[in-house]
Amino acid sequence: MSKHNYTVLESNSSQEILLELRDNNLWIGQDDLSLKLNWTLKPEGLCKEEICVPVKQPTLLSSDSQINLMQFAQELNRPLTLELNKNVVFLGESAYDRSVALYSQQAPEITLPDLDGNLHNLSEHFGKKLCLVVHASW
Amino acid sequence: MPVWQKIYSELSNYNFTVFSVMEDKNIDDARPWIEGANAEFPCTIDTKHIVSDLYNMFNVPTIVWIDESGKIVRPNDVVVMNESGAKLVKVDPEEYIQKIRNWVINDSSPVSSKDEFIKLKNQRTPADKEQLARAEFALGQWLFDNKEISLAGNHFERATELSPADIMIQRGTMSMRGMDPMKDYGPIAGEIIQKGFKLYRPIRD
Repeated sequence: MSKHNYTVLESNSSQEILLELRDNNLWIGQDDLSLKLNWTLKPEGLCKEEICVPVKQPTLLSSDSQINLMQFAQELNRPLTLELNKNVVFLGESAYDRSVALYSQQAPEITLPDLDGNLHNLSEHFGKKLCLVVHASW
Repeated sequence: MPVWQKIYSELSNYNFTVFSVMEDKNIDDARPWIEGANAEFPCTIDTKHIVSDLYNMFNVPTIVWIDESGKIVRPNDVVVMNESGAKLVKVDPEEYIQKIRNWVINDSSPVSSKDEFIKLKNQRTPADKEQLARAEFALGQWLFDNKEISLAGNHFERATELSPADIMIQRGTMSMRGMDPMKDYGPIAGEIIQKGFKLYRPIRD
């Protein structure tokens, strides 16, 4: 079975990672999982910094030194979608994480450019009452 | 947008500001709106729909009120400042602006209910399917940017099937699917309404 370079996209990043397509699943090396996606498989579960999520289906998740990337997404309830014609994977944000963040009522940080390319942070304006207005030309 | 500049001019002395985000694929589509508004507050462009993902927004315009501590006190609300739009969403712009004035100047409650549970109920949270739709949208956009127009179209289609009432996706991808977001939106909006979805969900106080 051969490994290929895939473009792995997340909301804020794009990385080239060596993945193996096997049994209709994509497998990532445990090293790359830690180094590139910042998650590590430990006896207590899938861990990122001090947070660990217990694994529901350990036999589906890992095999030798590899992690099944699709099962990894399922374990974290993150949407994963792929286009095999272009070797590209998008790993989205879970509805659960988004819901927890919104229920905390803390306004999520926004960093975006204006027409001249200057970046603006929403949090720069905290301390004032603020209306965030989202619209489009269409 | 010009109306928001008027509100800003009136209320900026009361420790109030506006942060504008346009969710447009092409900066040049947003440009005339921003340049025409001559706004004194930040006018940003979100070509990747980062904000609608973070805040769980489904259509434009969407307004979020945030207090001095950075807390969302009136989530995902709707007001359209022109007459036809106001009729469509059934929110009176003048009353809405008065509500902002009362909040900013008199520190009145941003929502009529003081009940924390009711306040949270106004905050919609996403379903798994809706987040999968946003992932399909993001992948489609990457493919489009890499000149894979037809592959991108497949993922945009899938996104619209997963989350039909996500107008950010439905209408925001039209220019990338060979459609016109002005001319071709009407029939699609009709279908969405027929399926029982709402296009706008203003907070009814």
